[in-house]
Amino acid sequence: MKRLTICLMILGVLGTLLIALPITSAQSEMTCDDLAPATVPASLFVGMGDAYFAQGDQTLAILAYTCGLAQDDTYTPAYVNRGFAHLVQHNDTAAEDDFNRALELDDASVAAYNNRGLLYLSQGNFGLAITDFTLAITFDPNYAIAYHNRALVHAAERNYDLALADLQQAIVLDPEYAAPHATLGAVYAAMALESYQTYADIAGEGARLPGGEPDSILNAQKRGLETNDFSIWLIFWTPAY
Amino acid sequence: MKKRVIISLVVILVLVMVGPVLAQDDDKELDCPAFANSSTENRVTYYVGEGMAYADSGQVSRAIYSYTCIVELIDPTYVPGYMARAMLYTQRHDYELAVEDFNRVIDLQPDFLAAYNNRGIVYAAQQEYELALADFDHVLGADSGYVIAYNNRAVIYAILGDYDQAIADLEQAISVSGIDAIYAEITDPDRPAGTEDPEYNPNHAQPYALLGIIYSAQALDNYEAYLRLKGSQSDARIQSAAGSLESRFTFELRLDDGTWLFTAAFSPIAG
Repeated sequence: MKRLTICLMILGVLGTLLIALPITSAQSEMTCDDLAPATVPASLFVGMGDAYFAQGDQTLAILAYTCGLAQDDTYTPAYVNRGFAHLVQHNDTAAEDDFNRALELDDASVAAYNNRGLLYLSQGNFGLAITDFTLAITFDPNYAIAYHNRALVHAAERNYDLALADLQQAIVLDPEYAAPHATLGAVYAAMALESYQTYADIAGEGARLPGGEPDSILNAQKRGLETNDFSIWLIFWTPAY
Repeated sequence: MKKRVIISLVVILVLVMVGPVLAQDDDKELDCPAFANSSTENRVTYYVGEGMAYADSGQVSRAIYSYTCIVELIDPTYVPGYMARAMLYTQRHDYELAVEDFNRVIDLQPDFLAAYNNRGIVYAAQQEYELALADFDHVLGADSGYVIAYNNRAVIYAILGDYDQAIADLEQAISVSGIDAIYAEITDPDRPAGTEDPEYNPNHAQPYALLGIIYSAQALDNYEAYLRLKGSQSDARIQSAAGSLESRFTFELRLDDGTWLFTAAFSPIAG
């Protein structure tokens, strides 16, 4: 019977949403009652918030998370996700408050450490960011996301070896996780630029790179890989005299 | 009763909210990672919320995906998941899939009348009127106070040209809901000025509009009989009235295109 009641309630809510006028146009006036009845669990509001966030509507997402917290002010995921929405809106104070509250409620919340780490990273507080990502890894050694994000901090600090190690670990832990591969490319690109600079420093001011500008080299490499043409590498050879 | 009414009206409206027919992504492997280590209840409510929000934003396919996470991965016995997905399939005009979901609900919970009622509406959209009638008959056989089913069955009777049965159902809907007494009260000429209206469900007004449509159809039948018999000597005003009604039944009040409930303006929004 309880199940049926929930069913009816949820369907009623769904119906209200399906038939509602475009409420996003009047978000500032919206309340929790516009989203769902006060009887639904906090996790439902978090699901709503995540869907709005995924569509780029952080304001509505924040409302949904806040509604979830009105239902249960100890529901950690609502703080974690609302904090990240605040972060995206550059409301750092609100974001940090939410992450801190989440960690007060659950001091092993890897998501809260991760997201607070992102906040610190965005602020350039690399030491605090490293600490948070490392804590997340400590609580969950298989948490590939924290390895990836810690690699970003290492990369921002130009500690490319450490970044590469964390990215490789993220890939090992979750081969289906795409982000580390993109970041790996970016780290190698940064390393390439540093190497080109070192070449210029040694070869002297005005010396041209053997393969042309970095973009040209990259394009030539891409073509070479596509056509199985290794000749790009011949540009860099060093003959003996 | 109120909740049941809401559900039924929602489905009616779903039929008329003609959204874009989007490509299906049903072949993709399901990926539903949220709260993977949490309880089934927590995961279910999360994806219900996600589905509601996507539906609210007009992201019908993504909303369907959310409910598919529930019924195909998390809890295949979760009736509201099938109900919600069926409504979205209906909105997307995937009627066969909608019927499949309603069938699954009926398998899981044979006494859940909303599933029969909603399936009946989908059958009506498919112009499977006998199947639709059977579903509404089933609902009313189980619960003679199910107002929406009277309305829906009346629609089917009207489409089939059985105006007498349609009118009987609509009058029964009015009687069961008690909306006639409400109407009498709020239109009572002796009612003191400033008296607050009694509380009632505005959706219960629907039979009056449906009756109006049916009486209009009957009027058209009579006008056409007159025009046929009178020929070129017929009264121009009747010709005009008949033409007007015929036009309406060809377009906004067309009875067999699955959308006329909406064009008859029985939306809860309109109240």
